[in-house]
Amino acid sequence: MRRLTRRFKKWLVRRGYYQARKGSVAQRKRPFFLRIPTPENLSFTYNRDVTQKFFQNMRTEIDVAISERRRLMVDPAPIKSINPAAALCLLAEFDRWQRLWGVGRLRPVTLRTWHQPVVRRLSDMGFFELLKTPVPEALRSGGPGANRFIRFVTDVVADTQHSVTFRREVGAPLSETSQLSLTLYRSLCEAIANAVEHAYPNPTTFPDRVGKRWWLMGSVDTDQNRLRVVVLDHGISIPGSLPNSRRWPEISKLIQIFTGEPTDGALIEAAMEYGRSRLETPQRGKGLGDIIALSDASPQNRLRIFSRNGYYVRTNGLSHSGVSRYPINGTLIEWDLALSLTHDDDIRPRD
Amino acid sequence: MTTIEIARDFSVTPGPRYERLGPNSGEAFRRRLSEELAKSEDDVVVVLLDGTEGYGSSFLEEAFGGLVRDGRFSADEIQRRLQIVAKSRLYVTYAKEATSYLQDAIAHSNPGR
Repeated sequence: MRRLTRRFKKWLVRRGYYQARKGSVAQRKRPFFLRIPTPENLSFTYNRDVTQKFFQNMRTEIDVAISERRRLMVDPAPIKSINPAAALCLLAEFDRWQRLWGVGRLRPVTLRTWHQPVVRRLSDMGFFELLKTPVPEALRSGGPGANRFIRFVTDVVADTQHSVTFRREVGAPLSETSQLSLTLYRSLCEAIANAVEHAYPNPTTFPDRVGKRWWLMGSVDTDQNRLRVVVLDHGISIPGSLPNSRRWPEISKLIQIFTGEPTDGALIEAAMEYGRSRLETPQRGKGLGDIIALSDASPQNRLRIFSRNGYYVRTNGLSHSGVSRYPINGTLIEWDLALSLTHDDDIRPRD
Repeated sequence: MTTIEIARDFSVTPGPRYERLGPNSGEAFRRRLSEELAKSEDDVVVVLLDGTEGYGSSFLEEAFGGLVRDGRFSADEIQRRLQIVAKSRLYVTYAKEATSYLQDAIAHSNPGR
């Protein structure tokens, strides 16, 4: 046996460090640089499972990349079509990523390979301003077109001035003194206030750098006379917040009677239909009703809510709910509205 | 008679229920309304709803229902001295809604009535 001299001890310690370092490298399963391709069709309507799986995967990889200071690339080059709700989810994930990363900015390094209509739409909604990257005019193509995206807004408080900014961005199709603009304002106020008040119940439910954040954007299709408005938060979701309600035992009993089990879809439907918000004092619980009011303003309007694994759809006064295979990060509310009845003369006051 | 025109004297963009949630809240307006009512014991205060971008139900409920729950003024005094009005037909719905919140809060504060 070799004598344990001071020099030999030193050598042993050095060898230990070396082996430990070598071991940790060997154990590392994930590559240092990871690339996540996006689906070709990013849509909650036509490609829901793939879209929700992509966003779930993107969130997981971003969180790993941030915690391990690893390089990650989310490549939007494959996207050939994108709808407003999916575009807002994509933007919100990049916004969150950039805020959590904290230093520098995310760069669209493959921008020249992205599909031109997608670049134009993302540019319209302010995606590249978020990334602080100017887009070459040639990539944007000409004119806003019949179907254009509205610039996004985001905040951590329920500042209703953003609703006015949004209405101004929509422009002529949404007149200032129409019944539709008043109802839209009402619904946006409540959706945004709900996000700030209920989606993030305590500091463990949101990172400091992101805050109790919500995002708002939309699209106008002047050919089809449609306006889409989307509000998103990254909170604990409607099914996640309902069990804190004092009426929870009553709601869960009703769900068991009507649908059998309290799935996320059934929980959202229960929250919407019974008008229960998380706090149940007599003066509360009117916000979700205001969200429905906008969809009920015209038989051609539609409301969709995605929250955790559940979804809820309401059109022409009828609603249904269901469960998606993959969860959504937070709650997404989308109104698809007919723009034909925007003038005062066309509307009778609703009592 | 004192008139508070919300769009002119408070905000064109009435906000959420509580001040902690965002600016121009129903809670902030309730305080303002309460101060106006406290200035005189007999003066009628008229709240004119026209001219804003709209109202969330939480704002209206907190501003008017909250005034009753606040307990600074009796239900009788509020009914005698507060008028909620709208001139344009687009805002008449809001005036009716605000009045209903006021009446609901009074009914809850006096269940026997």
